[in-house]
Amino acid sequence: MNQIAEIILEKKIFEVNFRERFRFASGKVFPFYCDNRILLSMPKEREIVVNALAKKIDEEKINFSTIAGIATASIPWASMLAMKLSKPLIYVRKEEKSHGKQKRIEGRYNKNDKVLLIEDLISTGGSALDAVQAIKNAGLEVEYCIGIFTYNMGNAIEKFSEIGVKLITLTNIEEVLDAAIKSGIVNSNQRKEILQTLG
Amino acid sequence: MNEDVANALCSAEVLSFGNYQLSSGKKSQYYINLRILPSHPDVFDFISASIAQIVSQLGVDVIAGAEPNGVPLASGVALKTHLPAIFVKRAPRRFISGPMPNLIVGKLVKGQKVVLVTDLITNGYIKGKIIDEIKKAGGVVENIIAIIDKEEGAEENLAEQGIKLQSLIKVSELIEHMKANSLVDEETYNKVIASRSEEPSEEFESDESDS
Repeated sequence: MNQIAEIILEKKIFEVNFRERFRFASGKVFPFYCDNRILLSMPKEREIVVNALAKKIDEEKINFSTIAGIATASIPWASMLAMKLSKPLIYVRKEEKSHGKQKRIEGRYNKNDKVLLIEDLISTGGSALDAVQAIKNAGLEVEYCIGIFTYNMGNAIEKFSEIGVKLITLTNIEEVLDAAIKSGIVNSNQRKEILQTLG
Repeated sequence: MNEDVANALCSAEVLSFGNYQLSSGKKSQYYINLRILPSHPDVFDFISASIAQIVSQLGVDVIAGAEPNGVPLASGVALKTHLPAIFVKRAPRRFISGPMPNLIVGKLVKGQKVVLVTDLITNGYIKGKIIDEIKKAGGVVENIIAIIDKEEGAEENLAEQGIKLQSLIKVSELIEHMKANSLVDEETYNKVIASRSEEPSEEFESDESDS
């Protein structure tokens, strides 16, 4: 059993509620919700996640010079990981409509730096894909994006691979649902129903 | 003054001299950019550890940082101290109607002692507002720690709110250190000192994009 999936379930980072569904940023409504930000307030579990990210980078033999976070939710994870691995950190700001020409990448970097992008949660992958574009526009390279959790909505993994980025996550909705079945939080019909909503 | 802090900040070249216009509209003979600090792993580690040391003497429960620029430092300090972290979102520019949304990211239990860590502090106006948000969410805030204090009234202004400001270094100390180590020429140094003495105190803090 995936340890990160178990933490996400046990610490109520991931919640299922068929009666009062959750409205996502996209406006769509789902019977589940995942909020990794709560993990930042849990030092022990936070440390396990940071170590798991570091281990994954090692296992996948990812070659990179710089770690990038995305405003705002992934910056804490990217910062802690950068500190742990003694790597430089940059971060991608949200695009502000009022300042079209505002610099989107914060930090010091050189052209052709190999960037490892960190995301805390991937639904359709929209914000991470946008960050990849911003990093590439600044002249840096991105080959990998590591996330903590993905719903894998609308085949996010394929969308990353189309722009030459390999998306790796510590866990995903299937694994969390497996843990939820084991704990009796959902049954196998509900698991099926949840997976069908992802599209 | 802590020589090691000054050396670390100089090695990351956080202070540059020239003619700058700050986000407040004010002109300045120097510019401090601490957003680049986490791009220097050794400096980021050392500065986070230095702040963590102060934090450990305060007996607080939670580290807070302001989004977005305060997030890397607060995360680094949280990692060093093994304390929970919360982040405070920027208030939306305009409210049309309805209650103010909760600006706290993460979990804050009522009565928990919170310290706000920040890279740069000028007059403390924005940081005071952020502390108000943490208090509204039930946090008890008595301390703020900054890397650099620009000495533009923050210490006094925050004291009125019952908040004690501590910093790793004051900007005047950093400039003196740069002078002593020939990192700034005589002429530039004199210009900066002259401009600093005539700086009017500001109503608004500029360090959101100045830092």
